Amino acid sequence: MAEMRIAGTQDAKHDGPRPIRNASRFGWIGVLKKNRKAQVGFIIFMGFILVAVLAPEIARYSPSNTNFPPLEPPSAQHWFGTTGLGQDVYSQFIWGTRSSLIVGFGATLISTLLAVAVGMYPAYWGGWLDRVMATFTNIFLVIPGLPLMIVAAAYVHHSNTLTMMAIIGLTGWAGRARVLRSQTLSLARREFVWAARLTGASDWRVLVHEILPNMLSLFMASLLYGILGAILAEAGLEFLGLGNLSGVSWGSLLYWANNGGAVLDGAWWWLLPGGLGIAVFGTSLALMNFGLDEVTNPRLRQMSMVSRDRLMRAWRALKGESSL
Amino acid sequence: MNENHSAILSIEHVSVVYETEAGLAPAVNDVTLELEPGKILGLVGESGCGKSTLAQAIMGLLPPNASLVEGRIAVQDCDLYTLSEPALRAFRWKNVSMVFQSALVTLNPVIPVGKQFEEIFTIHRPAMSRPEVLRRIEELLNLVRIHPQHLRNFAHELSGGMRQRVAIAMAIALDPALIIMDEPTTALDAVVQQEILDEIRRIQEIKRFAVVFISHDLRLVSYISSEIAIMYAGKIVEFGPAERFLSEARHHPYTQGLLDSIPHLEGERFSIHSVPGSPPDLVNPVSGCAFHPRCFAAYEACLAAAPQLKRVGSGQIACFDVERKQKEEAHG
Amino acid sequence: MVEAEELLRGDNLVVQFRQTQGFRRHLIYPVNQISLAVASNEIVGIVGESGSGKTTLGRALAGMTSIVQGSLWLKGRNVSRLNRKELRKYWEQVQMIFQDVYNSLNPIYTVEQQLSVPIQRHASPTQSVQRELENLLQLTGLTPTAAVRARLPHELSGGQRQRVAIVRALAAQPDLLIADEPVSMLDVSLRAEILQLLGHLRDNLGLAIVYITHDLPSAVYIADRILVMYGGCLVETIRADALIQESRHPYTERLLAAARFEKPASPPGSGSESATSSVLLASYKGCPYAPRCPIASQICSTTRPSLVQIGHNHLAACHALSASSEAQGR
Repeated sequence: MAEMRIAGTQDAKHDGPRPIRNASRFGWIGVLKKNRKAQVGFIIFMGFILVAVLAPEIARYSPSNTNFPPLEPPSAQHWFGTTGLGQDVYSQFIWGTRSSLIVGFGATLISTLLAVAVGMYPAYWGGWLDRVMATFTNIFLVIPGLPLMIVAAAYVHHSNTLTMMAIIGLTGWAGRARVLRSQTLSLARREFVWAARLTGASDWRVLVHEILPNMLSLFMASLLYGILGAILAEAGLEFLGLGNLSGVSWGSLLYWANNGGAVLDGAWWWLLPGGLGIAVFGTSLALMNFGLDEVTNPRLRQMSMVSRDRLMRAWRALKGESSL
Repeated sequence: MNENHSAILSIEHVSVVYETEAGLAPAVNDVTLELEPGKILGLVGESGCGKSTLAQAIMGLLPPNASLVEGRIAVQDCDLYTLSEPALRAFRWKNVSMVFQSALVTLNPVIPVGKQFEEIFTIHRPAMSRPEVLRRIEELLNLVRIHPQHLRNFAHELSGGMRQRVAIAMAIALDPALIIMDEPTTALDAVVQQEILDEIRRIQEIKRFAVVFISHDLRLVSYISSEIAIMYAGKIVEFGPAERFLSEARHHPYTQGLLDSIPHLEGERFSIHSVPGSPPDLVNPVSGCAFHPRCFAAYEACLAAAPQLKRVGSGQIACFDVERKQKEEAHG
Repeated sequence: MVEAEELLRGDNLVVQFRQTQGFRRHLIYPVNQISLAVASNEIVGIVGESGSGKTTLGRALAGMTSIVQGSLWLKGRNVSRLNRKELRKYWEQVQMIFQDVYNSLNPIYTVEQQLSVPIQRHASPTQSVQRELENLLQLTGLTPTAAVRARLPHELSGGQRQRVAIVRALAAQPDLLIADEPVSMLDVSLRAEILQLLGHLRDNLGLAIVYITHDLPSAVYIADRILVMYGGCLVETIRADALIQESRHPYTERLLAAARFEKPASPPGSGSESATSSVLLASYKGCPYAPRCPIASQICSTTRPSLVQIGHNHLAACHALSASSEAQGR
């Protein structure tokens, strides 16, 4: 029938390399094509990335330049106004975006590597290694994260970007390791994973080619969640004055605004950019996550009810055709 | 009992269409069936033949991308597709209930079995007191030979056979007149399968409910049913009393294929055959009889038009070849 | 019968699982002192119900579950305890196909992607992977091959998926294929084709097959020899062509009756099914079938019967049978 037709046209030329249908519908591109929320989230996200990358070009002044009149409200000279110390808030925000994102991504990279190493790999391997690593993860999970971070940050004292990344990354992997572990456990026992091993695939190949693509949506969600967590953690530490106080970031913007009495002086322009940056960037991550969820989890997708009348008409048309 | 031929279930010219990405797929195509009280109707066909869709249509549980586009389904003279959603919900389980292939579909994994049993009564019989409910549940469990101690268990703590017994007990909890059983024993071992079939028969003789029993295994269905309908590509191709499938010689070629796929136990070896070819494409149907690409007896007439059900012996068959042979016999 | 070359032999194999029930931990033996042999080019059927340990035995033979006691030999080499590297070598000779055709293929790869990698891995440098893939698809009836290659698993029927799984197993050019319930998820009307394919592979590729199933008729249909398992133990082993006439063990009889839809002589009590898991406990000493056996006597619940010869190539583990054959012997 239908198969025969295809066979007739393709049989002759199948020996050469054939275009391989890729699994993109499970990945990012498919999600972006299909889902409005993901599209909006992605556009905002890319906007922030652009700001971070182009910071030297688009910041109008140096963020540490204190030569401006203090506590000026937004104006043509200072789009976001100035701080109590006479810095340009707009330039601080732009440079702050850059350093916040760098710390956020860097910390997420560290925590992802740890989560994969502690969560995924041992779960696939099984046995004592998994038991030890699972216990280790659980111990880390019950240690309250923020105090641990605070202690670590206070101990390091003069933290720079790198130490911030390390502190946040090293304290934020446990929850994600657990999620990856449970998913890996369930996938590693599927027959197709066994079959791949039986056909001689190496363990890394099984992990990367068989297991990981099947948990891509979870992995992505965990990644987005990780970035959000890292940025919040960075802002929290900075706000508490435990960060890199010589640099600017969304958190330090808030810290200085708070310490400089922005609230008392009614200098809303000093407080707002840092907070909004965190909130909007967080929203973009959340939107992408929702979109990903809806596309990969059919239960969340809005079920489109077919109209009975329309189907009835189509059916009658079909029958009318075939009876002719 | 004298029910005077008032059918429990009447299906008249029913068609159900799925909307798929590839196009319209008529999973059930102009099916007419009637089931009298206390009878067991076997519905047999390969996966994708429309038997489960028909079951869902009878329960009023079609998936969102499917719709009943033609015909009428009435249970106890009540047209299901004229009921409002709340009325349908009340009607379901009270008048028509269902047993699924996997009891894990019906049983919630995190609630003890007993609690789920009670829920049926709190929803449909709110007036019943708790002691009454518990007494009733115990009765039901006795009927399916499950010890009441298992009420405290979770579904996964029961064996496959026990879960299916519990599912049956739940299906008969409100004394429905009709139970749809969709492959209720397919996931079970041979021995347990037979035990469950015997159980269904025994309880059915006590309670006299009607059953639509769906399976891909003609042998199993002919063991339990009083009537059998064979479905292919959404249509009924053969219908008749169960005995005819074991005794009479003339069948639809597809039925013949199904009969040949039953292992025969006599002699030293079993022999089994397959129905050759692959299941039909519903979206792009072939012309004429849907079975002709797989049929050993197909000839020109089969490509031109779809055959209708015609009386043959004690049953009905939709096949031009059978018609032709019958005519030849009548003449010769 | 000419004695064929022995391919795989297991002596007193034991697999143990730890089971937690509430706060108590039990040791269970899903495979309990099982000895078996598979000759090359032979089809051995292992028949039993769920919980009989047949799947665990299959996985142990395939090196997927560790054997805690006893020894397993492949072509005279001890393969009871292999490390990961040795296992990979082992799997060049022993392959497995699974029951669950919906989980046995990676859902995101096309048939060609699933198959070309393992074929490439095992092909000799002179072989064309494309040609080999084409041959295997033809051999297993996956035609038209060009259309099938491009399909994703969810676009295939159940029978086609199992064929793809078979091709993947064949890619390693194994000597032994362990087939765990390969047809039980397929429609009855399509099972014969897969069974015939397995028989065809044995005839043409010289493959030995261990066919694991709960469906006695299909085992009798395809196998040369049948091992009946219950409660982790072998209860009867017999030539397939003699099984219908000569099988004697009460459990085999029960399976035969169920296959014929005959009612059992004594109706089972409600406890019959729940009793099956307790006979796997390490602490249980009697015959595993005793709680359900219609002819069980005192000794059956206290002493485990051993497999004894009761006919030509015919062993059974049953106190009643060994008593009667002893009486005959005198």
